[in-house]
Formats: sequence, structure tokens, C-alpha cells
Amino acid sequence: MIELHQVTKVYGEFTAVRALELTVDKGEVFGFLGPNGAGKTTTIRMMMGILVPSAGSIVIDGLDCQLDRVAVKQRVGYLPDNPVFYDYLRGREILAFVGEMHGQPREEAQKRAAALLAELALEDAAEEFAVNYSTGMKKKLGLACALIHDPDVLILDEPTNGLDPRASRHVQERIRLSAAHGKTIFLSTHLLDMAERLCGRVGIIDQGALVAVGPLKELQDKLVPGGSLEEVFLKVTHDDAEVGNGVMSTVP
Amino acid sequence: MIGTSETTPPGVGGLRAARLLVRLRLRQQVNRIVSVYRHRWGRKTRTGTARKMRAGWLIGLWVGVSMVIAIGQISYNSVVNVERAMRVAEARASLQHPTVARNPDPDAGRATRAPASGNPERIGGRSARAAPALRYPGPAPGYAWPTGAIRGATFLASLAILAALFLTLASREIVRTEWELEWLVTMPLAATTLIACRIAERAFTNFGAMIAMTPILGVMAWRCGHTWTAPLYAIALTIPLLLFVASVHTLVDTGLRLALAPSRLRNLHAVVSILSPLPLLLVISASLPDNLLVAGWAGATPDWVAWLPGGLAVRALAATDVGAAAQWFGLMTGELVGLIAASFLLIERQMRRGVVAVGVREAAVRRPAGAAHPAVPAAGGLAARLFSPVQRRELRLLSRDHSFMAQTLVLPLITVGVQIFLNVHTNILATAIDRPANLAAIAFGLAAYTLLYSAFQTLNTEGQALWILYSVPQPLESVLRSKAKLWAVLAIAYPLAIFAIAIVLARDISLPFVGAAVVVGAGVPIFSVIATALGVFGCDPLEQDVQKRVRPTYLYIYMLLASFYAYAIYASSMWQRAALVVLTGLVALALWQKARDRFPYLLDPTASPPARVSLADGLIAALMFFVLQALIGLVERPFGNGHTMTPAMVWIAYSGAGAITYGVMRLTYWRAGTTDLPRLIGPGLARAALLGVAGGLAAAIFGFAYVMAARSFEWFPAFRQSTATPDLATMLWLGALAVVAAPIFEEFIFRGLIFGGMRRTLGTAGAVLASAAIFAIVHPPVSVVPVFVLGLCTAVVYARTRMLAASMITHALYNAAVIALQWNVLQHAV
Repeated sequence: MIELHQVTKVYGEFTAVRALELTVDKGEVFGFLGPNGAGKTTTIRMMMGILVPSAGSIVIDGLDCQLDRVAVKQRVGYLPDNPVFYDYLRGREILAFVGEMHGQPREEAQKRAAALLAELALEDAAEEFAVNYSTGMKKKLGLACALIHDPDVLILDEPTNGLDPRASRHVQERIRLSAAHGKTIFLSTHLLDMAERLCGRVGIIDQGALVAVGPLKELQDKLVPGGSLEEVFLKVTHDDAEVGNGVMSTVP
Repeated sequence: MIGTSETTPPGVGGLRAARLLVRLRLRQQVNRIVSVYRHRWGRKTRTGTARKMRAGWLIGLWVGVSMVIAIGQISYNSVVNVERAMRVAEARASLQHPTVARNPDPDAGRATRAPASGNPERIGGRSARAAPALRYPGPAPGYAWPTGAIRGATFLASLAILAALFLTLASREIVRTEWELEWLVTMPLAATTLIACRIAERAFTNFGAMIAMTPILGVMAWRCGHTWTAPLYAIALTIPLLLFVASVHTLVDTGLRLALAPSRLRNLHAVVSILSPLPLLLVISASLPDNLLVAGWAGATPDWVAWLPGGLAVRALAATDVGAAAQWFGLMTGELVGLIAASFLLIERQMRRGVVAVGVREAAVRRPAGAAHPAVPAAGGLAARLFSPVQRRELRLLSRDHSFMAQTLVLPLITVGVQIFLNVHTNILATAIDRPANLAAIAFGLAAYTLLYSAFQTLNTEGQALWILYSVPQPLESVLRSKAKLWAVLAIAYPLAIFAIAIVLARDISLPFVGAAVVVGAGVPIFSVIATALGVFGCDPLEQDVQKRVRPTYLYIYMLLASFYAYAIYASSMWQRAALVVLTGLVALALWQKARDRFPYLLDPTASPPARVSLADGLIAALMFFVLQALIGLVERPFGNGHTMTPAMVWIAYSGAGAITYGVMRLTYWRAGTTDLPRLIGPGLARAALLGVAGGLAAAIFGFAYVMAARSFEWFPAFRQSTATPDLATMLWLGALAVVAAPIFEEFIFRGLIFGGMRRTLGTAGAVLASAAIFAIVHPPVSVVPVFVLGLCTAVVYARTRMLAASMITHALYNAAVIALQWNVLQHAV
């Protein structure tokens, strides 16, 4: 369903993502793990056509993310890491707007918006200006925007970041529900317990490169037999301090 | 907490804290100004983007210098105008009631006057020519100015102080979500020290207020006979005034922040921002000559105003005796200190319960209880059919964001309204039917201004929420196009209203009036497109700092283009107007194309679109071609006989310009790695050449028929008589130009670049028509029609064959036929 071929993103002399090769099958919940600044958000932004890959291509449902932008977005729901909304617009209005931009008739968009707001427990805030939402409410509204056209693919950037435990559980339940309906879900996170609960397969990215990919169980058995996902994570990703020391010791 | 102010921490003294704060604020302002220009070449990570303009600082410098000159001029003119008007008024009054005049003998006053008192006489002398019977008043005892002039200056100075105060109160700082005082209050400072620091810091970094007050006071000092000390006086008077302005500002914004929810605050700010420029506009309008209205107000200034800071400042400047001046200055300072102290105490009182802005969750406050779903769907039935979702959202934002609405729709009206009101005697509206150009220029200016704050800002209104548009299955181009349409419709309302009022007032209509209205009507949609396209380059929606979201260079380009369009309004001939409108339309199309290429890369700071041949390249090449021809001609001219160009020289200028243009464009494309270059030949050349011949024959036959028709119906009598018989050499050179050089270079520019660029945006049929139109428009009026047909033929041939060689054949055949025809005609004529 989602294929990344040698995807690379270079900022000047800094390589944010290097030659990423990855496939996510239909109906799979894929966890994209990595430390802060590893290139998770950059990769996701390239999938959404917000950033342009320096090399390589991304294909979703057989469509190129750069060449068939419009068709791709009909199939994809996207939740950014830090959703920002228009000032002076209420949550309900923004959601209905997104629905209409997806081509839904006005009444249907409003009906769906109301249903989603109720489902995500945002009803009370529906008439508030969305810029004043708390982080968790913004995240939930963003998730509602991603779900309003009932897409086959969900791309979620840190879906539970900044949420309180109850809201986080709420969002995870909603993701699980989508997965149960056979949606393909690509979610980035650095919360390992959430990945363990939700994802069938994970990929770990570090300093722009994919360092491990596979079903959770296999990774654990292969890399740290009997260990937790945390130990796997710590084993394959760099410690900044260590890297610094390493460089110091090799440079005369 | 503020309450702990009794135990002042020993760490930082008040003065040092004030200095630190002022320094921090100055640093902030310097950073703001510098960063606008710095990020153009400073950052390495930006090397991927070629969009930054290198000449930005030059434009900034130019604007800065012209602003300084303008401010100086406005200050000088308004002081001199008011002074003169008051003298005339006083002289007139003394003529009617001779006893009222305090000082009928000017010499009596002059004896006690300070040196450099020549200026008033000059003014008097100049006006005396108009009304020789008037006797101009001498200065009031102890002053360098007569009573009337002091009164006028008092009015002007008070107005300037009011302008400074209003501008300061209208600063956008108050609508920012973060409130600096909330942060400053956490510093280890006593509340009194903090307030004092805050006032001092705001006083000495308030450049707007300085600009409003200091130059005017300086000019007044100069006019009162002070020379090199004039700026010193002005600065000395400005300092207490600045502190006063700062204390009122702090009092008002602290009080409002503590009392009002942000949404209310924003709407209040919108109202204030509309009213705030009024005093400044009055000062500016006083600088225009013969402004009777402002002069009248100045004369009617009540006496008690003289005892306010503005009046005291004027008296300090006008007093001839240093001691008296010091007294007036002391009185003004004392008054201001009293006012500052009062506001100080009030601010302290405001802060007694802490510093926390109210209503962070604003909508919770304004939500109507019970009414969960306002009646939007019911009212939206028609709107839903008329407007796209984006347009509806834009209208909703406009109706809710009062400061957006004020800036876009109300402010332009007020600016123009005040000017029309203040210049009633010129009566621009009533004379519009006979001389519509001025009114049309105003109408267009209004629309262009509206577009500057709306269409130009389309990306900025998306701001950080632009990701939403990237997550929906709609091309960004269609979103922006629908916004451009909406704003064109909204902006055209102003010209329509203005023209309607003019028609109603005059109960008449004329052909020039309709012509001007048509030019304006065509200009608004064109500039809506231009503004939207330039906004794509000129806006950085992801920039956190609102001040930096707009790159000023693109604003200036927009204004430049808009003023260029004013030529179309003032142009005398129909033909010139049409040409200018078409050219501006082309520029709009070219800019739109460039912007469209950028859309996929908008949110990517490093990637830029792949190089492609665009309409903009074609327009640049065409311009370069014409300018180079003129330049080479200029260089050649001294070598010619009798300073006229010989045919050989014309040929050299033409071919040289063409060759250089061709070389430069190819070099640019090669360096940029452009791939879709127009090719000269390709497979299937023979068939293509045949098609080229067919096209050439078609164009030549039309041209032949046209020339015959033109001759027999005498369409261009002047043209026919003016033709002299050329000799054989001339004809040969002209032939070489028309049959060899012209097809090669013109086909490259007009078909290869312009048609090729247009086809990307307009489709083949549209591009054929539009490229033929521009090809025709750069030829003299006599040959426009046949050249348009030639343009159609060559474009069709090029579109079918995709080889420039084919359309060159078409072009060459046509030119050869026309030359032969002319030769033949002339031979017969002889």
C-alpha cells in the first residue's frame, strides 16, 4: 500500500533522510520509531507532498506522492505532529471545511463533522475557536480532519504526543478501530509502549537511515533475545553523547 | 508577585534594569529590520532556493531615503502653510477691524525680534502680491511669531502629539498573544522600578512617535529663528513628550490586557487602527497648498489648548528670550511629569492584583449559552451555491477578524474619503465626467490597495494552517484561483461605487469616462491575479514573526506594477491603453505561471521547481531584444551619415540584438539545466517544412488582400503618402532583415518562448490566440491585423510541428511577400 523507494532528503549539507527503502502492506499498522530529530516528520511530510524528496519516490496505493498529489490525498488522512488551525474559526467549521474540500456536499460534511466531534469527545469545544484549543484538543481535531473522508490510509505523526493519559487512550482506541476496519496505518512515535500495543510491524529510523525493520517479536528475538522493545531501541539507535565521544576518539 | 516590592532585591538597580530593557528592545528592533534582508543571502540552508532577490537591500535603502525626504518635506510644508495661512487670516481680520490688530506696525515688533527674522517678511511679501492692501502682523511681544502663527503652530504641534499618541496606541503589540509584561514581572524588580523601566524603554524605542513629533518641532524652531540649535530644541522637547506617550500607552495596554478578552481586544484594536491615522492625515493634508479647511481649524483653536503641552512647546520655541523659553519648557515638562506620575500611580494600581491577562480561552466566553449550532446552515444555502468552500471560509474570516476587515475594506475608504473631504474645492467627483483620469486613478488605487491587503496575503491568511490545504485533494492552484476571483469581485466594488456616485452627481456620462472605467474594470481582475501570484513569492506563511511574513521587495514590485498601470488610465490614445492593459495582463499570466510552478515547493525551504521555459522568460527576452536594438542603434548613430541610421546599421542593430538575446537565453537555460527548450529541427523535417510553406502562403495571401484593401479604402492615408522610394541597396538590406534575421530571432522569442510558455497555462488554442496578440501589439498599428494573422499561422505551424524551423519558413515567406508587394507598389507609384 505504501512504498518508499530510496527516499532521500538533503538540506544543504545535512542529510535528514537517506535512501529509505520501506514497504507497508494493506491493512497493516506500521510504527515508525526513532529518537527526536531522526527524520520521522521529514519522511511523513514527503509522503504528504509538503516536502519534495531530494531523490527517490514514494508510492501510495500505486500513485506517486509527487506526481499524483490530488489522487493520493483522496486516499490518505493526515495528522501533523503539531496541527495549527485557522484563527477565528470554530472546530466544527474547520472540520466541515476539510470535509467540503474533500468534495463532500455541505450537509454531509456537517453531519460527518458533528459525528466525529462526538466520537472524539470534542462536542463541548466544537463552538470554540480552534486556535484556543489545548494541545490535546488540537491533536484530536487534527485526527478528526484526517478521518472525515474515511480514507484507506492514515498517516499519523506522533498521534498521542502531548495528550493526557485519558485522551491518549481515546486516540489509541480510535486508531485500533480504524485498523479493525482494514485501514492501512502509518504512525510515527517515540512512545514505545504505544508501538508495542498498536503496531504489527515497526521500523526504527536513526540519523536519517532505517536501522531495523520487521515484526516486533522478530526484532526482539533477533536483536535482544528476551529483551523489551526499549532495549531494542536503545541498541540500534545512537546515543548523542556516545557519537560525540566516538568522533572525538577517531579524529586525531 | 508584585506585592513583594518593599523588599527590593539588591541584584539589579533601576537604572541598570531600564538600560538593559532599552537595549533588549533596540536589539529586537534591529534584529527585525536586519533579518528581513539578512535571510536573503545569509543562511547556507537556503542555497537550494533561487527565489531570493539579491537587490532587496538596495530597494530598502531607496525606500528609506525617500521616506526621510518625504517626512522632512511634509513637516516643513505643513508648518510653513499653517504659518502663512494664519498671517493672511490675521491681516484680513485687521483690515476689517483695525482696532483688533494688536500690533499694526510690523517694525515695532521687529526691533525686539531674534536674528534671522527674514522669513516672515518673505512670506508676507509673496502673498502681498495677491492682496496688496493687507498689512501683515508683526510678531507678538516677546515672540518670534505673530499671535495667529503661534495659534496655528499650537494646533499643528498638538495634532502631531496626538498623532504620536494614536499611532502608539494602535501598535499591533496589544493583539499579540504573548504579553511581555507577564514575563518581565517575573524578574527580580520592584513593581515601581518595573513600571518606570517599562515606560522608559517604550519612550526611547518609539520611533513612530519620534517621526511624528520631532521633525515638526524642529521645523518650528527653525522658522522661529533658531539655526543649528533647532534640532537640539526639538529633541529636548520630544523627550518628555515621548515619556508621556509611553506612560499613556502602558496605562492603556495594561488596563486593556487585564480587562478584555483577546477577541474583544482585537476588535477594539481594529477600531483604533482605523481612527489612529486621522491626526497624522490632518498633519499631512496641512502640507498640501491652500488647504483652507485645516487652516480654518487651526485658526479656530481655542485658547486653552495653548496651555496644553503642545501649546507650551510652541511658546518655548517662539519665545525670543531664553529665560522665557526655559520657563515655558519648564511648565510643559512639569505638566507632563504630573501626567506621567498620575498614569504611573494608576498602572501601579492596575497591577496590584498581579499581571495575568484575562480570557485565554476566549471563545468559551463568547459562546452563546444553549445555542450550540448557530444558524449557519440555514443562511448558507445561497452562499453554498455561489461560493466555493474556500471562498466561504475567506468571507467568514473577513467577517470575524475585524482588524483584517478594517485593514482591507475600511482603511482605504477612510484614507480616500478624508482626502476627498479635505480637498472639497477641487471637487474631483463632480469634474470626473469631463476629466475622468484623476477619479479613475483614485478608484483603481483603492482597489489595488484592497488587493494588497487581501489577495497579496492569501498565503499569509493560511499561515501555519497551510498543511490543511496540502492534506485535501484539491490542487493549490485552484484554491488560490478561487481566492483571487473572490478578491477581484470584492475589490471591484470600490471603483463601481465611485463611478456610480460620479454619474449620479453629474447626471451625465461621457466616452472618456466610460473608457477610464473600462480600463479600471479590466485592471482589478488583472491585479488580483498579480497580487495573488506575487504573494506566493512575497509571503512566508510559516514564518513565526508576523512582521517577517511579507518580503517587502515583492510589495514594492506590486506597487510599481500598479503605478505602471496608472499610465494606462492617463494614456491619451485608445491604442496605448489597450496595449498597456494587454501587457499588464501578460505580466499577470507570466507571474501566475511562475507562482504555479512553485506550489509543490511552498512548504519546502530547500527544494525549488525544476527549470522550465516560462512565459516570463519570453517577456524578458522580448524586452531585452527591443532594448538592445535601441542601445546598439545608439552606439552606431555617430558613425552614420547625418546622424541617421543606414539600412546596414539597422540590420546590424537588429541582428546583433537578436543574437545577444538568443545567446543570453540559451546560456541561462543551459546553466539552469532547463530541459523543455524549443528545438529548431527534428525528425520529419521535410513534412514540417511543407507545413511551414503552407502557413506562409496563407499568411501572405491574407497580407496581400489586406494591403490591397487598405490601399483602395485609404485606411492609412498618412502612411501611404510618407513612403519615399528606397534604392536597391536599402531594399536588399531590408530584405535580409525581413526574410532572414527577423524569422530566426522573432520565432525563437515569440513562438519558442512566449507561445511555449503560454501553452503550459492556457492550452494550445488559447496560447495561439494570446501569443499572436502580443506579437501583433509590438508592431506598428498599420500592420497589426496582418501580423496578428501571421502570428496565428506561425503558432499553429509551430504547435503542429514542434520545430522552430517550420514556423521560421512561414514567417520568412510572409515577410518576403510583403516586401515584394511594397517594392512593386512603390515602383508603380513612381
